[in-house]
Amino acid sequence: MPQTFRRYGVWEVALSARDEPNNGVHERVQAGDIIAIRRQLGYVGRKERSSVVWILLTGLDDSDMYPLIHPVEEGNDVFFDKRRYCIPLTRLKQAFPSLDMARITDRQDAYQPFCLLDEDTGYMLTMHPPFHVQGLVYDKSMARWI
Amino acid sequence: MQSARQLPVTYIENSYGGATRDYTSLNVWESDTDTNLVTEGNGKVLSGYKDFPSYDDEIFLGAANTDASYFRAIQPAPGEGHTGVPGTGFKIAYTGASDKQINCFDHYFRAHDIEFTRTVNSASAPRIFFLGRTNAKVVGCLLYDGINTGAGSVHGIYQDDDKCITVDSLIKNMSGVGIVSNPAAGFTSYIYNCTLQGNGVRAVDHSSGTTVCKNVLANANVSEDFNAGTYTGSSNNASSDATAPGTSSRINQTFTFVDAPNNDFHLSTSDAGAKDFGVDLNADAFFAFNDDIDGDLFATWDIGFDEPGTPGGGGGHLLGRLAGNGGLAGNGGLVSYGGGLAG
Repeated sequence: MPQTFRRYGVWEVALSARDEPNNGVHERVQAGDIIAIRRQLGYVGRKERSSVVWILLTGLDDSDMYPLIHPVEEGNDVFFDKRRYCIPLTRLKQAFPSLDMARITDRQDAYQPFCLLDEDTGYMLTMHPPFHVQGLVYDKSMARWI
Repeated sequence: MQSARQLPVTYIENSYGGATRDYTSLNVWESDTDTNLVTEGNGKVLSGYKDFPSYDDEIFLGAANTDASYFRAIQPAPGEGHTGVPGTGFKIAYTGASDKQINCFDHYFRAHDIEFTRTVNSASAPRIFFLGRTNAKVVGCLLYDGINTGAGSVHGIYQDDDKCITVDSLIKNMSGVGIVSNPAAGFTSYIYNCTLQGNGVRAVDHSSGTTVCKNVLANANVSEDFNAGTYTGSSNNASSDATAPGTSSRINQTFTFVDAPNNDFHLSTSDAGAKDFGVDLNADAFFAFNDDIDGDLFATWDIGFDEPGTPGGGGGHLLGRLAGNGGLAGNGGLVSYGGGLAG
């Protein structure tokens, strides 16, 4: 019997937790922008506990996952928006209703709603199961969900 | 006297490595430091630790507001750097699918003394560095084993804008080109005191604009060492074939390294192909410096990344030793020093 399913990897993804002010050259990341993607490491650094939100994603091949950190480009060398892909926090709250919207945007709050971090070591003790990219990740350049 | 390794006049330093460091992701550091560094009056420096043998990571440097005094840089922490031999220092070994591993859209960005490898399965030609803004600098880095298991290749460094430069670096065994020089017409990119060994296509590929090569050693690159192109201002290069461009360059040379079979491409003291044949760059109009891959001072200038017969790196570069960088390991601290800028 033919196999029709595909197996995708699980990726650790860092989302911007808030809008960052313009740096004088271009628009910086906005809340929900996808900043970093990597295969699962299982730990984060000290400054990565509050500046970004860590979440697990699945549903794309390697070659399709890495472009999620690309900028919105105009021509070959020019970009005007820091990141092309995002997970809007409002959409994330629909998928995860207990998400605390006040805490996630608080710069002083090391709020990680999708993982339990060991405060001493930075290791992820537990993680929320991976979210699927479809219907969650938004392509700002094409104005559509992937 | 001026080291090729120059850091911002004042800067905020953070650490990179395992979970006890500030950052485990280059892109998260990038996002946190993508600010107006000029108005802040602080550069941003990320210092890497060998908590693990290597890190599978990439970065898109998305155009912080910088100038010659305040910019972003990545380097090993004190004692974490290589000895000039692959496999001895802080290393980023990327296996992801992005075309550009270090994708630089920062003016004045610097990478110092880091090891890079790249493994990819692609039909195109990914590159380790893409220098897409002016005055980006790669200094003292070891790039090796750019392996593409697909139909494409891997390039080492792609210098795509005006005044980008690679200095004191080894680029070895890229399946594609060691350094592609591709600034627009009327612009210039620079390659000084690099050793380019055994790359799958050629050592240096001049694509457009002007490429200035000085003291560049190219040995046993498969197709050719240098292609034909506009190398105006180049001098004192050396090649194993007949392609070294510029004045006072040496062609069809045989080079003697300390231990090539074990990846030690420091020049042997018995070398007769490159030793003592370099041009003095102490007062170079574009990029003046005086130290080699290990931070040792060039005495009589040589071609390639090494002054032979000196002790070797030992994991610390000249700037680190002079500026007392051993005391800068604290994270997030403000640091200043009085060194001048190299251009």
